[in-house]
Amino acid sequence: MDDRPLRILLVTHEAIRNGAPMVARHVMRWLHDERGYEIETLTLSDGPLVGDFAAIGPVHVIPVLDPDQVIVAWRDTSEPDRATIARYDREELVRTEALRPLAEHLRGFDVLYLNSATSARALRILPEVPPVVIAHIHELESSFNYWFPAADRALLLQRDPSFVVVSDAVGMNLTDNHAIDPARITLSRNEFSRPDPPTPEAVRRVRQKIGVTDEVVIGAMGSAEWRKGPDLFIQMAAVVARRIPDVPVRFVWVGRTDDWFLRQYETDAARLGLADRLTFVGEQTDPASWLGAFDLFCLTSREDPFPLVCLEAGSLGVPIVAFDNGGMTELANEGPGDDQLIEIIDYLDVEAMADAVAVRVQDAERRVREGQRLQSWLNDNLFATGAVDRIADLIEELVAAARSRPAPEGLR
Amino acid sequence: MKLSLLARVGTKRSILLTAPAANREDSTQSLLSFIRWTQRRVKAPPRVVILSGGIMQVDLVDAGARVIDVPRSPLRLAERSIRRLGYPRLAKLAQRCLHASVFLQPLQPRCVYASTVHGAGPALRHLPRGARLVVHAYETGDMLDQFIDERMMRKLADGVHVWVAASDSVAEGLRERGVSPDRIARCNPFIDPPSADALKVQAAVGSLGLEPGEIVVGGIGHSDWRDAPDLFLRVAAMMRRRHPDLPIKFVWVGAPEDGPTRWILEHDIRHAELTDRVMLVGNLTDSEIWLSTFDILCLTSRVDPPPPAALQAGSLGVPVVGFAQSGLEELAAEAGEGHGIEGVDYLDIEAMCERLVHLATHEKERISAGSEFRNLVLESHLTDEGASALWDLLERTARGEPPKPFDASARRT
Repeated sequence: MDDRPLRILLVTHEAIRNGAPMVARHVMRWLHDERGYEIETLTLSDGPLVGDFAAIGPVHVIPVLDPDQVIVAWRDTSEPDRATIARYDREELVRTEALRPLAEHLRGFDVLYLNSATSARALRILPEVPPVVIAHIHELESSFNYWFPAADRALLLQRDPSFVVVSDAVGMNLTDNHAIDPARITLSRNEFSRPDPPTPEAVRRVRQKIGVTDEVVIGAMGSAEWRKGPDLFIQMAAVVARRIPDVPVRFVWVGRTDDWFLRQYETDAARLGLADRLTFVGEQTDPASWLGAFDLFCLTSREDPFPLVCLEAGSLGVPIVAFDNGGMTELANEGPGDDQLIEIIDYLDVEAMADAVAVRVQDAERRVREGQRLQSWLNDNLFATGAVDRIADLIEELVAAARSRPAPEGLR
Repeated sequence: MKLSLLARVGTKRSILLTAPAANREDSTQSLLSFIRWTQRRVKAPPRVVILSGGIMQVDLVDAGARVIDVPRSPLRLAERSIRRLGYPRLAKLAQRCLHASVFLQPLQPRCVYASTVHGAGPALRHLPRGARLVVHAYETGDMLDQFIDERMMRKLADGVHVWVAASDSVAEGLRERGVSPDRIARCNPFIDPPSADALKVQAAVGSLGLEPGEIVVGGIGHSDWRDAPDLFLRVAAMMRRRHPDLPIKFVWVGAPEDGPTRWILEHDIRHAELTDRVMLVGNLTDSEIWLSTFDILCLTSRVDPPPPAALQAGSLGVPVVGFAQSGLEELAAEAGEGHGIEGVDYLDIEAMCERLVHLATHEKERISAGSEFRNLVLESHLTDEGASALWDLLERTARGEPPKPFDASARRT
């Protein structure tokens, strides 16, 4: 390899405090600080993490993903037919074409690092594609299909990409359902996601903020949309309240919530008599303090490849109950002996999840025991692996290979 | 001769029916039944204008309605273009001018009827001088809070002359939001009598591929939070776990043929291992045909002030289990316990499963309950009764008589 620093164009589909952008922020900061790479970030929609990316290198915000349009598509209840969907697609195509000139200066990179399947939309506007393309896939089948249209897939596969996946389940989805060669896939389970523990004062402030004194706090975290199952969280809370009506429990959801959906969740909560017990607090700048305030973490996601937030909760000793929804099932089975690291509940069995929660609400010792077991396993096993090193090695190996072969004719 | 012709035109023009869009909503379905009834029963039927197009446009136009501002019309395209050019206020102004043109006619209406609260804004804004406004409310209090901002609700509470509440809970919601009780009338929800083609029903049954003795538990509605197919799938998943040997097929009518709202249902079906138990079939245009294939209607709606699907199922002798809220609770109370329509606590999936299992395993009781519910619906909830009462109210209002709230249910009792 020559001596000049590697130039990486990171593409993130969003810049909010969600799993995938947080992973990108961590990986890129490490690559910049430890390996001296030059990083530029292209984000396909704006968000509060833009400042964090700007601290690593130049940031370009080109709104290829129009969140309003996505919301409209999901909100459309008037029997959207193929014609309506085709109209959305046409409108998006026109928008994308209009944005192409804004990306004209994004040239001369060694590596294109697409931080999600969705990020591959950048290929529609980039003036040239670097010789090395890596797609860091966080999506399982439903999200993969929803956010990754066939046209974008074709564009990506033309570039002979390598893949980094966040769980075995994601890798298997690529090999089994999309015919990706397993040799091109590297596993990196977000093993670096250990937040600094919050101070007791910060945790106390959080509990004070939501008016919690002695109640057991059941928490969830993530964008409150269908995939993360906020509707199921509310239903679970209602069953818990029915099972143990006299035990003081609070339910808290941390994460971005669209106003439209929030009104629906609040309607459900009010009708279920949970208005005083359940709170959607929105996106927070110090998620670790909120995780630290939880006595139990509930992952109600319908699909979640390897949620960062669970690793963070676990690293703070917060026990977890989750649906059988992807990566957490893998993690649950990694513990020693027959005991699972995480309580896994059958998909959509809200009542069983409520039972598991109710048992733990009434058994503080069990919560502590399970939390500590998860925490120590994560510390001894997952966090001890050099995940970002692996990604860096992969990048350097691919770049070396690319530099040693002549550029094919016609490649821009 | 000329004078009598003018008088006739004057009467014909004295009532204007409006709706915000030709979307498939309960209110639009009721409006269509009402328009058809006026065409059959009223000498000088009213003018009908739908402000925006939608999937029920053809039916409404066939019944005599005029639809303005249809998708892909030059006016709509112009408005969208103005909006895209970055002039949303100008676009809104263009839309308002379009709406105003509905009310600026040579012979102005004396009574304007808006078919929903959320569509009443333009009618109130452009109400001709001297005309009176009647608004049909299908929205319960929490739905009003979701969809109507406080300022508009205050304006409507002050400006609307007569409110027609589709259920007692709707009336209660209006009162709680500042509407004077003496301006609220109650009107029972109504449906057209059943008329499904037997051959089509037979074909629909055939398409379900039922095993002998298999019971069909059906659900129906849009794929949205309100009609809640997600809860229908929760019921199916619980039934699979707790009663794996019960021969039940779950059939949901109304899922879109493609797109995100279908994919998310398919995701739940796959992951909850329901592929052999749940079918997504048909569309809402054929609701009566599919309802005819059901043994039980599992109505998972979160909001259903007057539940027309329940009435439609009832008219076909299909018993209904739903959540005890607003209209369904009232209908269940009207029918009485064990008479074919019952409500369980809101979102209590366990209770809903129990009731479904009971009905599925007690055939005689199920058939008898369905039959009782059928009698109630045919006796009290057909269009003839509700529509004539509504027409009386509109005519009285057009003549300038003070609102005399009617109560179709009181009439029956």
